[in-house]
Amino acid sequence: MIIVDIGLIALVLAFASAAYAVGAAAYGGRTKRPAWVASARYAALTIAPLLTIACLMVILSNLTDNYNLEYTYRVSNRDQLTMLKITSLWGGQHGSVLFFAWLMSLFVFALFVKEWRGNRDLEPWVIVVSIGTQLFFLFLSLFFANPFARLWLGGDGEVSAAVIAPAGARPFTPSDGQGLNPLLRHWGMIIHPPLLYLGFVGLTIPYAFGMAALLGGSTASDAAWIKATRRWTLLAWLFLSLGLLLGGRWAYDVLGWGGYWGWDPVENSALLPWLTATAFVHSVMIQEKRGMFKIWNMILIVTTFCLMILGTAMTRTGAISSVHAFARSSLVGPFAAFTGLVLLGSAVLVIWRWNYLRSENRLESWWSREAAFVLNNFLFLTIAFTVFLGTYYSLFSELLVGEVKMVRLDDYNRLIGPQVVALVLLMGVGPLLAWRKSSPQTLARMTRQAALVALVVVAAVFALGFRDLGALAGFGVIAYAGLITLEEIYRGVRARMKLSAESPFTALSRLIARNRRRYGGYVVHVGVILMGVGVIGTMMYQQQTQRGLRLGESITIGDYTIIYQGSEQYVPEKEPDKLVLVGHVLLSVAGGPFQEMNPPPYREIFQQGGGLLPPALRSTLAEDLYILFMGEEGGFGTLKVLINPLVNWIWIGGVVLIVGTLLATWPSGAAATATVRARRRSLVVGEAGR
Amino acid sequence: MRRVGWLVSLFVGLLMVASVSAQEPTPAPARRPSADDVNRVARQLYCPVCENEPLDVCQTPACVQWKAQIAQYLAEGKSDEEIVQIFVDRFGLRVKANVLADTPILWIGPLVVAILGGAFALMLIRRMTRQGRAAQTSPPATGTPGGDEYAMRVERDLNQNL
Repeated sequence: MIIVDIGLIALVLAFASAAYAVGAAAYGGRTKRPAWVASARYAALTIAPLLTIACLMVILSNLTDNYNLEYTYRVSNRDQLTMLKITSLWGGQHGSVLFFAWLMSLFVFALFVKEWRGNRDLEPWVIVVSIGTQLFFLFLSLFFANPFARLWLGGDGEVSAAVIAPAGARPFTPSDGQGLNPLLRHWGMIIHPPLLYLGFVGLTIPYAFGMAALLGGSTASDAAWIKATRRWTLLAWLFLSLGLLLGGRWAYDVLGWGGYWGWDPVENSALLPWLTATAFVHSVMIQEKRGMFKIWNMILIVTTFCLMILGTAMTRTGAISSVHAFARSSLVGPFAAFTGLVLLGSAVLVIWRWNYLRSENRLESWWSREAAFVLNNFLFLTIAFTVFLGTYYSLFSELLVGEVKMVRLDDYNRLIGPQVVALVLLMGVGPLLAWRKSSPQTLARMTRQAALVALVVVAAVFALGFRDLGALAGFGVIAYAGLITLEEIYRGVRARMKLSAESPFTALSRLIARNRRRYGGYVVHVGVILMGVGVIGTMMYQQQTQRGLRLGESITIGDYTIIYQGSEQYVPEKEPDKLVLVGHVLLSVAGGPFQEMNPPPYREIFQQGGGLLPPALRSTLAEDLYILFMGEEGGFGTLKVLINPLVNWIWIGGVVLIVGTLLATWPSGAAATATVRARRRSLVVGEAGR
Repeated sequence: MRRVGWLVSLFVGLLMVASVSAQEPTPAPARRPSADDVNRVARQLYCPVCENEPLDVCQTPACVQWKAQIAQYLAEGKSDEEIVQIFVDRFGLRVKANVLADTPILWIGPLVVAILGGAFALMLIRRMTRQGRAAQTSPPATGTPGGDEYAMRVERDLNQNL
């Protein structure tokens, strides 16, 4: 098949380009020959177009029902919707490795497409590290998970998959494919992995710059890498956050357990780099502002990158059994080797350049922004450590004591809850502390009002009947931190109004426009606060009940009465491997009239095992009514009904968080002009100095 | 792999039903436990084969069998703890939802690391603070809220884009 050959050739060429780019950049960097570095850059730029062709060929193979291609046979079939034939590109292991490599190549392309304007010393080494990582994924795609393997019928009648025809074999084309895993046919599962992957591959860039600063080895470059990668890091963080949020929403919408986060090993593997990346996003500010924590930032970005590789390995290899993982595969070995290489190489580099990374300043006070960032990092890392330990606990316990023990939902919540509460408290207080030195008196004065209001909130929550100590503490801390954050924004606005006699609205928009990073950050904090409200609500006050009901019988929970109206079942025309059971119910809220729930709750059962359980939802800002239809047996339809208090604040907070990140990431006109002006000024000063 | 998991869970379920019917003659249920009662116990258990899903949520035949068994034990008057223990005895600790209490290392480990890490961070800050005080040359930036000084600080920070 010509499609397969074109795809394969493109993949091989991309691999060759990447290998050449790494070699040429390393040579050019070592011998200080810019021509070689330029050549490496051009080679790096060919990877994205080549991989685009490779990906298109896989899609084309799916669209043309080319079941001779093993990958198409595994993830597609004739009945499959056209859209799903396209998204099947990342629906199976081999395709998703290629897809991952392609996304990485896009980031690399965006990074190198413009003439290098930063520190010249960094360029070759950024190419070496970023394309080196790219090379690893291309290596996997070519030698361990090649999506262009074809099916062959051997002389002995055995069917095998191989890129190159085995001796005496002839091509074999099954009449139809196996079809995409039904779990991956939901829109949430279609866009959630690419977003997470974008977050993952995005983290390669700050890592590449960090390592390049060490390899390039000049004191100037070690500060430059932080500035150069600020936006890249935020972009990666944005995609990771979006991926995590959408994953949560998907779980809530289709898995039917009424929750959004199950501490599944694969979820955790995506959360781990997010946690350390969040610590990094904060601690880089100390390095930029005060020239401190350089070693620490290097360690953080290395850790984040390793966790990213580990996370990718977890999702792609299924070393730990979980909802998302593909079958155990031959990828475990290469991933382990690459992670080892990254860890060892990075450690050697950090130790080698230890002296370049020495702090330029000292911490002056406990009551300073720097100290708050230290605490912030400490808490993010203890949370990450707890999640890491929990995720890999089954492996440890199997290895050490021979018995598999799993850390589950409740344990995680209990271990991590208090740490998150402390973090939220710090999130409120931290930004109030001045750089270098502040005082507890100033802090107390600035947060007095917020503390009083928070106490009132706690009293009100108590009066509403919430008695759980954890929830009261949680709501109190959230109110306190939230108010401080809002007050801080307000104080900025007021200060500007005083100074420039602006209207409140102009003051606010100018404030944000002038320093998107800071105020974008505050908006993110507000998002976290809103999400916290939802998390406490659902974690502490979820109610549920389940019953088998005859036709016309009802079930009551909270203010809601639900009448069972019978069920129907059918097999979707386009998806004959599914059975859909629909339960019809009427709902009355607080004694009001009964209305049919539309869309109704239903259940999908997949032929190959497993299924989905999407709820019928009645969603308000106060709570979600979450009705599940479990099936009908012997004239009894089973309904499970949950009330999830405040859950919508999680999604609202999520949107606010994303908006805040966009604010902080988006290149700001004012800032760009200011930078240009500053650069011009420094040039003039420089020339005058000469 | 998924299919194998499916078969194994079915097998485990059947095996369990077989073993129960062989070992324990079932007395007539005194009272029919409600689905909520069953779910209360099921929430404390995880099937050893199914992926990371609590028993009350899981819909595989094996898990449905487990729930039927829980209902039977409840009808026999067994307590929640006794029922959980029966499943743990039979299938190991991996089926337990809450291992924190049985596995001190799990929380003592991170606690020790957190304490050590915290102590280290404190030590670091303290050392840095002492040296910092000695090296301090210029007055610290402080400001009262609403005061002009604060407004200047905001303005200065804005200019530095930090």
